[in-house]
Amino acid sequence: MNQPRNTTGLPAPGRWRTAAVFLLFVAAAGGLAGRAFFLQILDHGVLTKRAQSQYMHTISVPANRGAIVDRNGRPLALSAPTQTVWAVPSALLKAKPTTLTQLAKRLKTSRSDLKKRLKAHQDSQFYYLKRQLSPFKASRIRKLKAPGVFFKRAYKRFYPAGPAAAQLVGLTDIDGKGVSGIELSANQTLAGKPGKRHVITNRPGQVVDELGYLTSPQSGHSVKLTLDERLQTIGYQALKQAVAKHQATSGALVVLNPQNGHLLALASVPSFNPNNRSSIAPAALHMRPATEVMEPGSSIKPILISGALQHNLWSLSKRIHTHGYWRLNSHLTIRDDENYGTEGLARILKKSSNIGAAHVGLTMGAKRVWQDYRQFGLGQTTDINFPGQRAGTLRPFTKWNRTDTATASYGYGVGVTPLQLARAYAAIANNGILPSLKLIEGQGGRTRAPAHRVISRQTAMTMRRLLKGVVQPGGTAVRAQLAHYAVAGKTGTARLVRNGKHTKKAHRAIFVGMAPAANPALVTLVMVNNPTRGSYFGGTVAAPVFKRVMREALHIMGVPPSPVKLAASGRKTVEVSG
Amino acid sequence: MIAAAVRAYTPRTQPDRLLLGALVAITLLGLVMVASASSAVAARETGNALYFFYRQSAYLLCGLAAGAVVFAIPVRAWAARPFLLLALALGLLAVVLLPSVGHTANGARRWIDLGLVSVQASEPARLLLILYLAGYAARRRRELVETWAGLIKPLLFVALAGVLLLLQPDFGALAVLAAITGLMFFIAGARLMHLLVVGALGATGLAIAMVSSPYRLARIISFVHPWAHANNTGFQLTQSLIAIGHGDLFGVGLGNSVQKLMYLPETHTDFLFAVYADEFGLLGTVVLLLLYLVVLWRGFVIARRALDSGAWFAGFAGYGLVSWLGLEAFINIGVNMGLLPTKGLTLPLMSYGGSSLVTVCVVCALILRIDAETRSPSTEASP
Repeated sequence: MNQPRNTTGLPAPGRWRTAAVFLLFVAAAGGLAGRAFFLQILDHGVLTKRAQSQYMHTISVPANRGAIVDRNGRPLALSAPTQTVWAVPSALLKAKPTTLTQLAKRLKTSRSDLKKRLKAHQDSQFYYLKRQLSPFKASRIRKLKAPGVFFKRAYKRFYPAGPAAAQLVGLTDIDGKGVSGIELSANQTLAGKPGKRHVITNRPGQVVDELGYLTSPQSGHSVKLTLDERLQTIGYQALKQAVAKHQATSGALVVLNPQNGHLLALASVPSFNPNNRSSIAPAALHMRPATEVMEPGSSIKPILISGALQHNLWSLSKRIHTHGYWRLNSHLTIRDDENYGTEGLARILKKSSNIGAAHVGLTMGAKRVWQDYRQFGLGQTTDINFPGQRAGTLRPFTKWNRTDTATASYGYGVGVTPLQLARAYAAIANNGILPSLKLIEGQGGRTRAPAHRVISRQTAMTMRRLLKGVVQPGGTAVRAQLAHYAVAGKTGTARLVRNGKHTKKAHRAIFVGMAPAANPALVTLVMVNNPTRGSYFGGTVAAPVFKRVMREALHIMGVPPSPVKLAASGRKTVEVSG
Repeated sequence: MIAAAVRAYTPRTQPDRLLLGALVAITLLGLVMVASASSAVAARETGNALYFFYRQSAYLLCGLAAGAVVFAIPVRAWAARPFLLLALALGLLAVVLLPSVGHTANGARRWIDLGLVSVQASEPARLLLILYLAGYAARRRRELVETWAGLIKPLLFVALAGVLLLLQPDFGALAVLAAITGLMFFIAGARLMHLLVVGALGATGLAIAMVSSPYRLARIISFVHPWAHANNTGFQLTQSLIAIGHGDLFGVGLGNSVQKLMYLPETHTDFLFAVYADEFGLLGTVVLLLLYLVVLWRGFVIARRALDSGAWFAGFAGYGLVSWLGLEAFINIGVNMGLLPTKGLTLPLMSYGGSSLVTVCVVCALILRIDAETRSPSTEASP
């Protein structure tokens, strides 16, 4: 056969040759085992560290941001889970054209646009396709299984109260950090602590395994406000309509409980929709009750007269004679809207006589007026810790001359915020004790100025009796009168400053009041800036807002109605003075 | 003819149990590791994590079928037409270079596309060349041992095959072929002086070929300083070292290697061992080395028995084939552990790939056939 057998006559090759070859193989195996020992045992630590440094990652897990709720637990700000979709552009560009088309469709764009964006970021390893996508929409994109597309959990903030409380509640930035309002001031409480997660990733960066939490995310705490969402909405709507009706530029509204200083509504117009931030005018961002410094005009008179009564510098029976104008000096002639003749404190308040107020102020003297204003908290920031809150201006009395004292008596040359003014009225409502304002519940012990007495109970009751006259027939604010509650309050119609001078052409309409007058449960301030259509007086622009808000607020707060002597005389044109 | 072949083989003895056991163990380990190491890549590229596992299983069935056919053929049939073997081998290596036939992967033209499957030409070609060399050593042993010409004549064909391999280029296959040739002639009894001179010439040629090509030079440089090039040319090797070192004594457990998650390229083919070492640790490494040593040991015993019984072709073929297996295995493991520059050689019986697996199955079948024949002399028929 063809099988080549031992036909050469040679002996079989030597055994030593095959043995040598086999030994060579054994030696090679030994060498490999040695190398394996070196790598797997001796170098294990170093190589494992290298391995872990490339596959183990620490990922930050966002914490659920706490909610902001009103005093009844109604939500004002809530976080809902969303998905962030991002891509490695170079990887996604390799996707099938149909996949890209589908993806573009679900991202609400065109394929060419998507491609253009991806190409522009081709060198980057990270590109946001869409942020704050709803979980449902994200899952639709996930189903495409497009290469290089990744998902990250995030939260989106929703504001159920909408524009009504927009400036107060504030906003968060896209990373969930508070940037204004309560969102900013209470950020630490709300934010919680993001957790850290140890994960194993594959080379493209996808998480393939969880090694567990290094620290689990701690949800933020919710923040409960003293605010009442119902009052806030009612107040905002009423204010907004008044601003629109009178073609005013802006307005502010404060409702507070004078007994404990709890702020129940803080509205600001113009406002914005915090759930749709595409167009927010800068003017809409101001939380005017805390941030607007205004000259209070006549609405300061109850503060002045409270001080005069308290310090026995003017008695209830004291009368002065006025003539409609008073030439104080070469710089200042004080005018009333008409000649009120002989008047006491009741008539000064009821008719809002500037001449009368100036007489009272000048009698008290600059120091006394300044001290009383200061006592009532004017020109000082309130206890609430609101971002952008302003202190106002109350120049030291040592710099006041006679003119300054006279004008300060009817509310010029003094800058206060609506909050400060409402709180000062709360002292009158609260039988003489100036309450410490509160916006966030459970935040005690940090007040700058705890509640303290500024006038006696007797003085406060007297003041409320006098202020009741303002809404009575013949007073400046009959339109603030409520059917079932006695109202005490005061108007203010201040001239606005234009080009450094007070102008007769632009005004601020103010009404601050309380009800029921005998034992006030609520104090409400309404301020409307520059009403240009119809009327511009505090009694005609602001007082109706007060009435509308108070009527509902007292009802909502469960304040029992008090018998009121309704004026027999009907409506007559009301004279209002500035 | 088939009937004759079937008649020719009537087993009187059990096959070598140790050899068969080691081969089965390595093969099963290989299947499991292909499934484990390729899962991430397979899931990403095909959507089916077991894609490569299924294909490898199919290849294995092909390999077993081919092995069964080869096992049924008497050994002497392979020695009958030495020049047919040679022509087939060189033909394969030449045909793959034709652009219309051979197709390119990773910059080398190594594959013949047969439609359904691709065949890596160098695998069957080297098998045929080894059989040719065994036949030459058996037929012309006196010339081989006594004359220069007897040694050099077959080497000319090997050199021709070498040139064709370099044209692909497939330097690794050439290096293995050269080593096996030297080994077989050494065992056949060639004079040491002759072998040294020819070996030195061959080594010089290989060295020149190695340094002359920029990509091979880059591989060598990154092999010497892998960590300095960890982000480019040394990436594969450093990732392999990390995987192996991560394994420790007992490994991270089957399926738990992280390195296979796209960190280490070619996990299921050339760098399967790294994933194996990561998952089974030093213990697994030693077991695998021992399994290959068992194959070598039994193979050498079988080949020696053939030589002693006077079946020289079977003996030389046995030595050549089993050495080929061992050499490829150890070189592959050495490459994985950074002892040798990256070659593109597979781990026999384990790495994913049809050409390699089927060829190795045929090699094993040949060794088992040699064993069967030498232990049952009656099947030799009448001489």
